[in-house]
Amino acid sequence: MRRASCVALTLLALLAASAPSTAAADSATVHVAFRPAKLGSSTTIALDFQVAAARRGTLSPLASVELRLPAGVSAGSSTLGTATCSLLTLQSAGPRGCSPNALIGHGSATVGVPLGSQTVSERVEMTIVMAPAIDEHTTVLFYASGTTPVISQEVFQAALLGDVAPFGTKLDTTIPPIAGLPGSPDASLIGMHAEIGPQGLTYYRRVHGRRVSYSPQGFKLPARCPRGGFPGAAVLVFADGSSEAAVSRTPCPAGRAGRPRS
Amino acid sequence: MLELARHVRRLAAVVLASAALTLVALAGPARAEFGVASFSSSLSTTQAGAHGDFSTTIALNTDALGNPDGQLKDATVTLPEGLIGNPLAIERCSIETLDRFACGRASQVGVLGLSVVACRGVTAKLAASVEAGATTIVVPNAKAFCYDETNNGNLITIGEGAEAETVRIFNIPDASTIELQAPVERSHAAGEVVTHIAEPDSGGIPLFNVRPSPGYVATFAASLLLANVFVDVGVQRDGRLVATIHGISTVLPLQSTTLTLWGVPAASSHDAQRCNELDFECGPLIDGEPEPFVTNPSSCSGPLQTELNVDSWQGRSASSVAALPTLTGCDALALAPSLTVTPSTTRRDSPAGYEVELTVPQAASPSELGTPPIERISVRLPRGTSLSPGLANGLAVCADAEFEVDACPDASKLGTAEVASPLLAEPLQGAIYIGAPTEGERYRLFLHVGAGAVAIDLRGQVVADEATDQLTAVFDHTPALPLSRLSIDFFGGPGAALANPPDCGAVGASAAVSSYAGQVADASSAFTIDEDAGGGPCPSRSPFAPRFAAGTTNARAGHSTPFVLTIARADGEQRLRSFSARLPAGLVGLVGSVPLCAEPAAAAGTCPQASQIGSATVAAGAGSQPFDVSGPVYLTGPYDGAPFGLDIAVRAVVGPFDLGTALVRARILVDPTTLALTIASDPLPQTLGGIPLRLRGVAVDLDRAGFLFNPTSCSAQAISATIESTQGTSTEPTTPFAVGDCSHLSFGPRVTASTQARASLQGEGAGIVIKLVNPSATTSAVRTIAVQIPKQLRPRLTTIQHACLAAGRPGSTAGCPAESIVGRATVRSPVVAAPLSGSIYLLAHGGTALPTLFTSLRGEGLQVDLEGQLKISAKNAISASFDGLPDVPISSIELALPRGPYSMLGATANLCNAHPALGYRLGDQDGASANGTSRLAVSGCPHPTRRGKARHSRAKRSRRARPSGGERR
Repeated sequence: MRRASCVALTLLALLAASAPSTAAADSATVHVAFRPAKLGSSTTIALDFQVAAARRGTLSPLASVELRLPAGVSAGSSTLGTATCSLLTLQSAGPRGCSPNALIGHGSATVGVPLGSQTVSERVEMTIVMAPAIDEHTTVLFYASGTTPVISQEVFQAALLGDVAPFGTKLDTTIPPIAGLPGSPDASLIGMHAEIGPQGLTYYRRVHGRRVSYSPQGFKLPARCPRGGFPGAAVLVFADGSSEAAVSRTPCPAGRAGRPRS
Repeated sequence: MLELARHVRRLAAVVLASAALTLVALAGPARAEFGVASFSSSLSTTQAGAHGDFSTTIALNTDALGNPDGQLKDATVTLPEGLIGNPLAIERCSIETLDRFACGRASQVGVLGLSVVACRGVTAKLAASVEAGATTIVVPNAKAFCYDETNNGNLITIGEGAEAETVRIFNIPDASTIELQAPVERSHAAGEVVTHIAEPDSGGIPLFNVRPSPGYVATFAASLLLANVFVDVGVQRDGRLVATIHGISTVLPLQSTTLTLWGVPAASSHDAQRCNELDFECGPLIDGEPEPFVTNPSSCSGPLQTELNVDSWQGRSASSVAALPTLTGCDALALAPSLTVTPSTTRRDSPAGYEVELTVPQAASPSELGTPPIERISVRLPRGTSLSPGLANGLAVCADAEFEVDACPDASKLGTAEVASPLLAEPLQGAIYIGAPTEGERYRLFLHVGAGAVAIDLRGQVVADEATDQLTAVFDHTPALPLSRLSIDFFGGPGAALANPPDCGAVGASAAVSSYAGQVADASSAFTIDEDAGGGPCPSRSPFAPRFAAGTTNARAGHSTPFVLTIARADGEQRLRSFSARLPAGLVGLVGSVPLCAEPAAAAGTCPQASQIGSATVAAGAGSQPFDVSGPVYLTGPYDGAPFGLDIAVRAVVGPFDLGTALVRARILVDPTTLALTIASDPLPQTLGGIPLRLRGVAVDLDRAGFLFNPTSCSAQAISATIESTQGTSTEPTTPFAVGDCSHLSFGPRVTASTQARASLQGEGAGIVIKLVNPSATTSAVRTIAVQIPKQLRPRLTTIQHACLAAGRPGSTAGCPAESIVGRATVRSPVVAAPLSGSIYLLAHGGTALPTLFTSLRGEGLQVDLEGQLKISAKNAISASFDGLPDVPISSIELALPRGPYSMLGATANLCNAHPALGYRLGDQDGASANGTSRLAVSGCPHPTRRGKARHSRAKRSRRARPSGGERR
């Protein structure tokens, strides 16, 4: 419960940060969505970012992604991540080795894998699990697994940190170098879609000795929607030191405390 | 001398008169053994080469009565070695003149001394007693006694011991009565012995130079009343002079004889002995220049000797030897030879006749010492002039026994020879032959010249300098005769014994001539090679454009065929040093079918016949008729870094000469990519047995049945060669090569693949074995193999990450980590007995190319590199293709990519249920292709029992529920 609260806090804090502006705005895109997008209700946060195709030509592997979520998104009532899964477990056994109650989301990603003269686009499926906190920060692990055209598995780690307005939480993801063919550049994450929330998750608990499934509570949207919608941003830092930033604004959903879409 | 001659003449008359009595006397006392009582020789001076007088005296055995034992028939005196006489310098007397006792003083060469027994020794017994004072005695054989008052023949002794007395016969009136010149002083009883002891009478008669008897170099004659005495002088084959008196008259009971030959007949010291036979007037020689006649030997190295052989009319023989003192003053002699060497053609690098003439001027003045005879002749031919192997064509050798009887076969004749000597009126003609080789003397020369019974034989040999191949002809122990000129004319033409130097320019020959006196004199000769081998002016540098031809004799693709390679150069071109020939890809030998010749037999050239794969012929020699020698070609094991080698073992039997085995080794290099063969020879031998081979060509015929096979590609190829000359020039000729009838070759390899049910996405991953089997070795060889990996099997990034970065060192896996080994390839081929196999490496090529699968197949010394390209299609299909496989018959190829921590592949599905299939596309060497799909055989799948089927179904449902990417087993 304590961890769930932390998650909620950090996600809300993402919205408080100001948008970086170190690169052209069209080099990367970010999109944040809420499912369901109902103010004051539990929701699943859908995050998308893409490195623009133009940028991929001079691809330097992505070293980190900082996703900033709008302020006010509450995790107070979230029951996501009642269990945790360690990095070692993921690396050795994959998500199957983790408790179902450690799953907090899923998604997919596209990885560019340079293979000599050709860069193949590897689509990987992602499983997002709650990891033991590190330095009292909520820690999330992304387990990426692909089979086409090559079989690959990667785990990278993210920390949920507080952010400054208008963001409330930022998901600071460190992407380790993904080695490809020796002599070729490392593989690079060029796009990701992640959904963090109860959608599609089944948790279990014991009730009178019986194993009972249930659906966890996700993030709760604030009752009011900021003017102009919920802000979102992504800061992409590449291995060569360059960075890209993108901002988004999620229209306010129609609802009890919401405003019509602008 | 006057008295002596007169006495001898009178003696002859007495002998004639008493001949009948002599015959009776022969029935007298028992004779002793016929033999030589004494034999001596002398020289008037011991100065070597001087023109002194030579005398030799023979005394025969006598019996107790002083009679010669037996009657001398023939006397042969072998004069000391080196003692020579020059009859041509002395006037000759005709036989007719001799018969008239009219030979002039100028023709006298010496004196023949004779000691004859005019009255033989006789013994008898008194038939009646004799009183003191009696003047007659009676004996039964009175006619056996001699009564010539002019000599000692009429002395007899009556009685023995103290009672004996000697009286002189006055007359023998009848057969039993002897009248005495004086009365006896004592009485003698009947039966007492009457004895006459023979006393020889001596005298000398002039010896004249007459026309030589047939077969002799000189004849000297002395004229007697009864018969002329002829002293015939011949020359032994060793050069020694032999004086022979044949058929000495039986009426001349010789007891001893002395032969004296004058050094300078005209010398005044002989005036008293130089007499006219008619009037017995003696005196000086008035007309004519004095000429030396006898010349002393020229050797001061040891005692000389004269040898005597005598035969009696009674058939007995005897011999003796007389020593002469060692001569002195050899250092005062002089020798000044000159040499001329002239080739019959001045074309370079061509067979040529050679005329070698050595001239030795002879001293002609009696005041000069004679020119010492030559003991050793050494003629060094110009550098580059060599024995020509072509001479061996049809050459025979002359055996020693044949040479000794002057019966050398014509096929052994190398040329003609001529020897001139002051002893001979005309030069001796003859020939030079190649002698039968002996141990230590391979190239022997036999020179024979002669006329009638006069013959000179020389034995020599040709020696080649090991470093320069320069030839030296040596004649040692030549006869100690005055040799004024020796000419040898070696035949020219294609079969000439000699060949001109390969390069133009002035060359020189030299001679070293040693005399019996110890002098060594040099002479030299030069000539210029000024024409090219084919005629015309000399080139500034010898060309090098050898002809090269190579190919298979069966042009059908994929079929067994002999292979022939020929390299030939023309006269005048630079000489062949080595060659290498690059055979076309696909022309392969089934090495596995031949027992390889191993070391040390390969190094020794003693490979077993089972290793023979062909033959080689080497042509050697200049000119239009080079000599061919052939030998087998063996396939050997590894040689000089190459996986295989060739032993070309040519037994060089050049005509009558067995020069041994010329072994040329060659490496067989195999291109690791195409398996094309390169045959690279070691340096070819340039000299064998001292004969510069002047290699004209090499022909190799690899014709072992079922060994070599043509390519299965009908595309145009080439056979190229690199041919190097001894002068460092190289040329790279090429000849086109192609086979046909490729359409008859079938192409239908079967491709199978298998995997294991035990497979996973991570961990040990999944394995696959792909196998290509060729149903027949005669089908077209595979050139391209492309397989599409089943979609259920995918490459693993974790393995890709460990690929070996091969950039900059293609084909090398040195230093590659073990993690980059993803499998193993095995190829079986009838070419080799054992399979070739090697690890399959995953190679990365940086950003320039897709990763590749590389394997270096090894086995039996071979290395074959194969590299397959990995491709990912737009639809993410993974394929691997091996292109450009060598054109060799292949039985099977197996590529195994097994499970393991660094397996190439991982399974993305349950292979037991997924029915994975391998797509493939094959191409042959001539462009034909075959496509297909092969379902993978999956081993280890559970049996479909009822319970198992139920579990299988549950598992299937369970897997469907799992998220994608979960590990499967």
